[in-house]
Amino acid sequence: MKQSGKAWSGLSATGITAFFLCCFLALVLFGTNIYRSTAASRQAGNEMRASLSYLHTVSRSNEAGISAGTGEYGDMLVVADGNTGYGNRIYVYEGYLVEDYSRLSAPLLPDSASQICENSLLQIEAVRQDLLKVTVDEGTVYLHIRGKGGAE
Amino acid sequence: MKETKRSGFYLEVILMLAVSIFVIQILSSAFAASYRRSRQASRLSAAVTLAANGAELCASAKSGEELCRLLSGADARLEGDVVTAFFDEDLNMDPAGAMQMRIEWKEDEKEFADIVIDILCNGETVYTLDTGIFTEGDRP
Repeated sequence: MKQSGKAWSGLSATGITAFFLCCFLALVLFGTNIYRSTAASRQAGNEMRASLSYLHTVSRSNEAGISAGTGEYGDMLVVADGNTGYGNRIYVYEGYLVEDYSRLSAPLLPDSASQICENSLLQIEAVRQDLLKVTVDEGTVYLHIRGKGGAE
Repeated sequence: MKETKRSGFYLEVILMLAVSIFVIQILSSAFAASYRRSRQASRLSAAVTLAANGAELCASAKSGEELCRLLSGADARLEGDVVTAFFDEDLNMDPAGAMQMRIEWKEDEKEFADIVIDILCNGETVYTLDTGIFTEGDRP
């Protein structure tokens, strides 16, 4: 009888511990899932700002010299630096959107280009002479070309 | 003796349940608020980009009718001074998209139009961009 009481006491303690651990585990899993989705959402927002906002900013700060082109690595956005003959060429290289500043007539130098963000797609479509539709992984931006650039 | 042990066990279980429920409730509301804020932030990022796209389209279009033509893939409609169009969450034109762009186009002066771009998601305004364009050429 005494042994049965001890067994019952041990079982109840084990039961409570197991129940508490289950609750704790469920809570940790729940929290982890929420944290994961929050982090994914924040990451998506950051990537969107890194690529799409970057393209809008480039377009606004270089209104006159932007044009669409095609190079060794596919479509590229050409941003001329005034009349110097130099400029930035923005294209995709090895999974990154890169900015390659060099003489515009020279071959591309992707290894020395600056990486902007991770991106595998750059598609440039001329909707009309003064409007480019640029599609990257994170979505689409429209760039109004105010100067002499635009579709080639 | 046996009765005392049993009631002690039940008391422990009830106490632990109460504490667990309290903790779960607090953490759930904290996690849910964090998730909601994060969704709002990503929706705001998309809305800002979409509004910037709208401004670029307006600058190219120069008139409400032309803007409607440019946004034809987004089920664009011109009603008075207002153009409405729909986009999906990847910012592509989609007549069934959840994001609505509402562009109010007011030509205040001869060569200038005031543009107000509202981005709505499920009927709620997420972002408003107040801008303007020169309708005759790009610069006065």
